[in-house]
Amino acid sequence: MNGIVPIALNGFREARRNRVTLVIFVFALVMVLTVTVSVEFTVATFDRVMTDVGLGVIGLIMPALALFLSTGLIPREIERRTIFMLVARPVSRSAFVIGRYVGNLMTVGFLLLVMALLFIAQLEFSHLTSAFGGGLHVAHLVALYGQLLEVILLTAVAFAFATVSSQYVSSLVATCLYFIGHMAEDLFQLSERSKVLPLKALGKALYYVLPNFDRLDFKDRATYFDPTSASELLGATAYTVAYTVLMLVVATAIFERRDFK
Amino acid sequence: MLGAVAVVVLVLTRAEPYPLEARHLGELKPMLLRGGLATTVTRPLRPLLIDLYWLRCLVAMGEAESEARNRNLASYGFFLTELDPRFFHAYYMLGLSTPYSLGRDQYANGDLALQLVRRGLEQFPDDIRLRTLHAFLLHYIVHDARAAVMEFVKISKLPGAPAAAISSATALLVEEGRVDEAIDAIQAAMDDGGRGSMQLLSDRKKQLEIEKLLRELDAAIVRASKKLSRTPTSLDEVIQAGEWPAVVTHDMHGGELSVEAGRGRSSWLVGRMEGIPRW
Repeated sequence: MNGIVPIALNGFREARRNRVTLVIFVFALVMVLTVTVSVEFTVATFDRVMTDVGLGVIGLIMPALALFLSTGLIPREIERRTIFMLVARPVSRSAFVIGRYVGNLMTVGFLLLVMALLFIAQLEFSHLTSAFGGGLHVAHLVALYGQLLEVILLTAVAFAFATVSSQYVSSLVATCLYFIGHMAEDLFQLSERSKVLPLKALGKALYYVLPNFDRLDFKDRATYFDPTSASELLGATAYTVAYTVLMLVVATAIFERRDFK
Repeated sequence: MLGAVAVVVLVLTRAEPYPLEARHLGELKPMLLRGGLATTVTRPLRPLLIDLYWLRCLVAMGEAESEARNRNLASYGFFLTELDPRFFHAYYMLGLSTPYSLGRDQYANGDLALQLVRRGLEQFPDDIRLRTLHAFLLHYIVHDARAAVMEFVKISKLPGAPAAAISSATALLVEEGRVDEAIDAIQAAMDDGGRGSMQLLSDRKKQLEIEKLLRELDAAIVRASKKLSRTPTSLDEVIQAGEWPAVVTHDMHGGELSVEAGRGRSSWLVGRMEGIPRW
């Protein structure tokens, strides 16, 4: 596992130099700033609009950024032939995959942190300067934590696909999985209602096999400041870690066997 | 060559100015996804989607000044509450904005507003604001005073209900000519601990009792008018006509009875308890 840290730091630096990332990041910051503007258009539902627009914008841009960054890394290395320079060095392929993943995670984690801080600053600002706005609530932090878990898992899933296919294919598959993952519980409910046994079994199997992103989504609860139990958060965290590890193991196993000739 | 093609394309695709009237029509149905589809497909972004539609809906509320535009508000209401059944303001504000006055106490879209508010009551059965809105719609929009009375009686029994709820119920009962029922309702509220203000209820009970007596006097005046072939101008004339007992010159609360413009009056009661005449 030698060399993970330099590869990770290098990935972080590389993402920082990527203009597309920067443009999306600036766009994201502007979007998060629209929270304050959107409140000016509403009536009676100030807290709700601030929460939904702020978390919604973060929830819209972060997965897009995570997908864009994670699906492009390895295919780009292969396309540019820079992968040969790396595999020729005394760094194992698994260390390379994990290093790249960690570097990617550092990038999206940093972007999420900045967006979250801007969002929190707006909540607190509206709380201090106007009659409405309850300020930061623990439900906001839970939703942001859920967003972080979602990004961790989505990056791992996208990364696993990026090790076997091109950027376009892996981003398409990962995007589909992202949406299906948010419908996992509906899929389960639908399969439960089905009278066809194989369909029922298939629905259940898909529910357990596909990444359940809905389990990590606490934005709905933040709207009404609903509480989330510690056990639920721990469960979501454990699920994310386990699924991420599994995806990285798969990605590493595929990458180990891959022939770059 | 390329320039000629560009000119042809420009001519073919020339844009006519969008007619101003069409832009402000608003009668077109709002572009809304099917609730079930929106719930499933947009799940990760549902709160954002709901709020964007809510902001659009607030603009539509400002625009609403026709039967069709107000009907559109109900469509927004059903859509938003299907996505988020706990969205109280969607039930409340859109329930209030959906009816459209056609003049002379007639309203369009009352049924839609009622449907939306009733959907809200399934979620918030003990919410006084929503129940009061329900009673308002029942009475003023769909003119179902009996159902409105029942609603006001329900409101009066909710914890923290304003004393005005039972007063409103009694006012509607009196309007319907059910004075005894109104007195019973007030008495029940008083027996129940006042439900807000014992003084207000007690005053209301006195008003109702006097109103009941005045209605008896009204009937006596009508009978006296027939006997005298003219409308009596004082209580004495009604008594002399043998239609009113001579001993009852004051109501039970000390107000002096009189006849004004052919109707009974009490000095205790500033005005008679009766509804606003309808068209």
